[in-house]
Amino acid sequence: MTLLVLGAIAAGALAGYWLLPREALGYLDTVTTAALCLMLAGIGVDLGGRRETWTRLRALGWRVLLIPLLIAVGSLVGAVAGGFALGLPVNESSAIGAGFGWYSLSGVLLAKIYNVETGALAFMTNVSREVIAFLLIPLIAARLGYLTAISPGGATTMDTTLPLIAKTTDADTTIIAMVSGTALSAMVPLLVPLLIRM
Amino acid sequence: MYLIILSLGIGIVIGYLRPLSPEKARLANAVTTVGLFILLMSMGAQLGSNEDVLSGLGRLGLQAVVLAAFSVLGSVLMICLAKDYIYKGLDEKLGRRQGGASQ
Repeated sequence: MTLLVLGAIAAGALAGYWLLPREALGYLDTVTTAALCLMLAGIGVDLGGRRETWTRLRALGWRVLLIPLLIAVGSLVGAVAGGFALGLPVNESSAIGAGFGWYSLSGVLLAKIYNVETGALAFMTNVSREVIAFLLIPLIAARLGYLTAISPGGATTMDTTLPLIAKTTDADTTIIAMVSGTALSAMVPLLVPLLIRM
Repeated sequence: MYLIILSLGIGIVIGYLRPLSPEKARLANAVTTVGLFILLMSMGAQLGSNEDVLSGLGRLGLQAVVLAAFSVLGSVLMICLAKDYIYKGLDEKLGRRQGGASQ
C-alpha cells in the first residue's frame, strides 16, 4: 500500500512535470472534488460501521475518550510549538498536526482545499509520525507504560500500528488503542479543514 | 468545507444504520481507494508542475520531521501525565482492583 501511494504521487508528479499543460490543472478541480466526496463518504461508511468498536467504547466508560482527546491536544500543541520554531503560521502547523499520522487523508485534503506545499508537508509530517510511532511504541511500552505506548501512533492505532501495540502491550491496551485510533481518525476530516481556515 | 462534512456525515450514517455485508464493504473500500488515488495523483501533478515546491522538498522534509517529533512528544507527555487518572477509571470498568464489583 505504501509503495502504491508513493507510486501514485510519483506518476502524478511526472505527468504534472512533463505532460499536463498548466491550464489543464484547473479542469482537474471537478474530478478531484468528486473524488474527495466519494473518498470521505467511503471513510464515513467504514467508521460508522465499526459498531463493535463503539460498543466497546461504551463498555469501557467515557473516561477512555480522554485518551484520544489528550492525544489530539498534545499533537496540536506540539505541532504548533514545532511550527513556531520553524516560522509556520498557526493555522498551517495545527492543521498538519491534526493529521494524527493519517498521511494520505491529511495530505490530499490540504493539497485540495489549501495549497499543494502545505499538503506535501502534511503528507511528509504524518508519514514521519507513523515511522516515529513504529520506532517508539516498543520502547515506550517497556519504559513508560502500556497506555502511553498508544500515544505516538495517533489515528494509526486503528490499523497500521495496531499489530505492534498488540505485540508489545496487553489485550486491554490493544482494545483501548483501537477505540482511540478510531476516535482520532473520525476527528481528522473535521479538524484539518476547520483548523486551516482559522 | 460543508461538502467535506456532508460527505463524511452521510457515510457515517449509512455505515452505522446499515452495516455492510462483506461484498459491499469491499465495494466501499474500493470506492475509497479509487478516490484516494485520484487525489494522490492530483497532488502529485500539482507538485510536479510547481517548481518552487519541487525545489523545496528537502526543506519540507526537514520541517516534516520537526513537526512530527513535536506532535509525538506532545501526545506522549499528555498521556504520561494523565495515565494514573485514566487508569483509576478504567480499573473499575475492567474490574481489576474492585474484582469486577462495579459490574
